[in-house]
Amino acid sequence: MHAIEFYTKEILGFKLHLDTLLYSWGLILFLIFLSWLASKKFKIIPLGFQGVFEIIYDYLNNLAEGMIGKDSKEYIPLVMTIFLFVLVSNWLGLIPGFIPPTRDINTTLALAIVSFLSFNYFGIKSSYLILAHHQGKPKGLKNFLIFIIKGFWKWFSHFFQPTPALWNSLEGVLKYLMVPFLCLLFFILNIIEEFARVISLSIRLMGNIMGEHLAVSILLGLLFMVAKLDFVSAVTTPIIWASSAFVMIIGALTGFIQALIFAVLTLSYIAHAVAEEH
Amino acid sequence: MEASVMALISAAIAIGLGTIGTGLGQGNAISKAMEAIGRNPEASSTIRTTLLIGLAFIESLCIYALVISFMIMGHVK
Repeated sequence: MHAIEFYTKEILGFKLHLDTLLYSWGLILFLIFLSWLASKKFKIIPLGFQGVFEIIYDYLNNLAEGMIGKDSKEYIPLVMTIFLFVLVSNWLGLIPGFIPPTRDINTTLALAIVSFLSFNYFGIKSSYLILAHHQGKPKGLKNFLIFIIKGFWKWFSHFFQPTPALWNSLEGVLKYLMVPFLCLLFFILNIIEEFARVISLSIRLMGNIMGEHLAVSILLGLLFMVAKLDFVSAVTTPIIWASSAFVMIIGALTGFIQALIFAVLTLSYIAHAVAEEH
Repeated sequence: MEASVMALISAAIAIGLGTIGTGLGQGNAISKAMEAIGRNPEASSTIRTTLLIGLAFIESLCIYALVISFMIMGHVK
């Protein structure tokens, strides 16, 4: 079936989905061109593409300020790039004959891995920044090494997260018996959660777009089955057209919401990673 | 029964049962959100954003069922 199968080719032992590659490169070039067009000359009063980009930027920035705080501007370029790429590639699937690159698990997994690496990077960076803010820049090699180990431990300790609160709340012998065991359990759970984030981000986007694309292609395929000049075909053809148009409208909405969800979830993972514990 | 026929039936059962729970959950979430907007219309933008994120989380369960049913359909000869 057209919606599930890919045009694959084997190059150097790798199985490449050539259609996904071609369309995503095309979309990247298209987005670069649009951004060049929008940022060619900046005006005080935004018009045209600059206005569209500024609306999206403002919307995402308002969301980010609610989650992260005043230094949210650092994370908007990444989140907005993900949002625009996912949005444009979801909407590409609405044009008949085109294939959305996001229906392929490889594209969405790549995006999810970018999101995963970036929220871990921002988490490590912010833990070093907080440490430098509290105790000042280190002097000398030995202090510098201690600084690096301390900052890494500050980031790494969030994998054991609810343990300190538990240590303070429990009392007696129970504390020494239970807490080491629970600490290990929390560590395993937190590691699983990190990978579940990547898997759920990628499968959610892929499943939504592939399901919607499949529904449209099955409905349009029904048209060829009933294409005869008789009464049944005269009745069913308008119904099939109307229902496929309906699915396409729903698909436009789904594509927008899924792009927004991907961006907002990336943002909330970053917010969770950079939040300073009090 | 042949294996491919059983695979077809199990794919249909997987997506069918998956959608029942998702539909109930999403209906519940939307009805509560509507109630909340009716009580306090000024908070509607916050409620809408939270609702959309929550709906996407619920919807992903249904999408897992869809992916599983596709994986089962892959075994149909």
